[in-house]
Amino acid sequence: MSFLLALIVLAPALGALVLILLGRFLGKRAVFWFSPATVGISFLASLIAFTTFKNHPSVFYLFPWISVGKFHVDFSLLWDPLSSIMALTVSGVSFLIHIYSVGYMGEDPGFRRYFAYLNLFTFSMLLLVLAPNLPMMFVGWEGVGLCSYLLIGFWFDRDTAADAGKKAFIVNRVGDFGFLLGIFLLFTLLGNLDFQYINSRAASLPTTAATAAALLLFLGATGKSAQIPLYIWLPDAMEGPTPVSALIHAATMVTAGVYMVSRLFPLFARSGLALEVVAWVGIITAALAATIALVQNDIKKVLAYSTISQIGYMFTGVGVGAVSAGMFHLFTHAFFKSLLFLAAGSVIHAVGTQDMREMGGLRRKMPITFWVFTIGALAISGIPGFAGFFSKDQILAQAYLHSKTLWTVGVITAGLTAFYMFRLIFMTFYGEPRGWKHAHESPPVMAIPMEILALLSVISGWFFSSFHQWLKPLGYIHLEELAHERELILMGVSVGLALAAIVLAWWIYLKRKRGLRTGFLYTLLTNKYYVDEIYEALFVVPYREGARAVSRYFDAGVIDRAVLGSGKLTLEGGRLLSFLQTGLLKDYALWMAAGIVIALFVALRGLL
Amino acid sequence: MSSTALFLLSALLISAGIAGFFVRKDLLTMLLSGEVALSGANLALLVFATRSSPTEAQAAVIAILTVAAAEVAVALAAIAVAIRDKGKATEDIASEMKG
Repeated sequence: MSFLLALIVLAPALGALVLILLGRFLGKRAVFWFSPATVGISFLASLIAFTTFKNHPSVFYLFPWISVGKFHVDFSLLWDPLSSIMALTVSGVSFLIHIYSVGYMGEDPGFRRYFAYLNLFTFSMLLLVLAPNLPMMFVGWEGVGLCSYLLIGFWFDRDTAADAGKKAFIVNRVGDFGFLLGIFLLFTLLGNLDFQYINSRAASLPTTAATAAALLLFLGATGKSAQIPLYIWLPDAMEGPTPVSALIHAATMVTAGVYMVSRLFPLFARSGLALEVVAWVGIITAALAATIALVQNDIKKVLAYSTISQIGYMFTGVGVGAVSAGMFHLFTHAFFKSLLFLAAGSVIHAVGTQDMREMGGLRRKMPITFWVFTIGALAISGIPGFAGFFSKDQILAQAYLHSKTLWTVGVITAGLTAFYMFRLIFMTFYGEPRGWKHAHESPPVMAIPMEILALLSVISGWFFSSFHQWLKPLGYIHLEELAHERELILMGVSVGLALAAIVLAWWIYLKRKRGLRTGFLYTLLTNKYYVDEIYEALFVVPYREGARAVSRYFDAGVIDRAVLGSGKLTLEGGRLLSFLQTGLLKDYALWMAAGIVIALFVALRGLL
Repeated sequence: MSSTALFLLSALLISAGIAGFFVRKDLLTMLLSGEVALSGANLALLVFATRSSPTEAQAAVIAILTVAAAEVAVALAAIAVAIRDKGKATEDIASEMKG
């Protein structure tokens, strides 16, 4: 039983280990089979566990990990309604992206390193998901952060990629610091870090303590899940290979924050303020990122901001108390967003640029890519019948019941989403070719994963009620009831807005054939609200100048002087005592004899 | 023989050894002088062994003998090398350590 769960985690770990240690002895074909196969095993094991254990919560003990006094952390794996869905989604999407990567990264000289990192990532993510306590989750949390850094900077000889990797790592450090403090606080409050224990005791915590712990943990979530104020690393993370963006920076890792909040929902619920913060940070991030996405010309940047925006929705869903709605959006988003990224990768692979202004008219050359991308775009825009519609609609309905303002911002953001997605489609696939000469459809090894994801992007939305029932045993899953007519009206508004936005995008980018690019607002948006510049001035510059001052004055003046001084002390001391070293045997013997005489004198003083 | 006489003999041997060590210039004789001093100390210890505490004193004697034997082995080797390399073995052959 526990073997099956261990297999889910360990198969990709073994893959990473073999590729790192023995990768150079493996041929190209061996790597291409081996690396996806380990993740495939993991996916199969998840599937078997999913059908046998179903959603019955149970902890599978493997071995003791930390044991200090009364404090114990076991290395065990938690299978419950939440982790079962996450494990299945993560291993499934990861498996498809591994296969796609064979086509996308096959020609790259660093493919062994690439697949080793990708396997290591899958291992870390599954560890994060199946962790039964905060310390183990933190290990997975840091593991995925490391892999994210390594894969963003995969082409490290490009300065932009190396810098983006560093930026992601440092920004995440800030969030992880909060996460760690939250863990410490919970430890001092409760003395036990098992999720089940924390959730069962959350009600007995003082409100302020629960608020502090929840907000600190949420700071970690904003780092990993790219929310305000720490979202700035994700757009830059697009420097990594596109399948990486699909897997890590869209489908799995960046949703870890949502998963963590869902996991510890009773703690957040203990403090109403923390949940309110989660909901509002989510919706503001969603709106802000969507507006920035409107003016991006890099196909991956559009998708990156759209990811930030969609994760904002998830947080809003969880923040208004609808954990199942937030998690359902995470579930469907994993499929359609990885699909969009893979399709974008297919386009980039074909035309060799990421700038949409140099694309255009790719519809006929790349019919499969065009169709799957359109399905993904319809799904994310919330067009009825597609996955995103059901999940987003559920979040919006729950947000409406919580606060009308939340709903209004959310529904406008949904309109913006539809607009920028179809702006992307019209600029990329319609109109006249601009710049590219030889485009080609991607090979089956890339097309088939996209087709499977396209299928999932449609049907995964149809199962909300069973999804909701599946999560029920967690005990904190509930939805507010909305009057049927009211629900239909809300649905009508959001769908109507999305359709109107698509038509508007068509009119601006196909009919008028030129975007709106004048005015103050456009400048503000293309400069991403100057957030990077503000952070630069507010944090980076003072920090760098402070570090420089410390290095110049404290380091050189105090530390260096102390170190050099101690060296000088021994040197001078040695020189001072060197007169004793005459090199004459008799002198040394004399010193010895003198020593003996003194020793004897001291010893026999009583007798004299 | 009385203990006093034996102790006097021991003191004599130690003094003679130390004096020899300071007075002579060739290493071999200096080594011999050292051994004489050590023998003097051993003699005193043996007197203690027969009069008061046998085990400790005897253990000390055996330890000194062992150290002396090891010392002679090393010292003779050093002297042999000195004679081979420098043609003589006096106390002034090695003063590179002079500060």
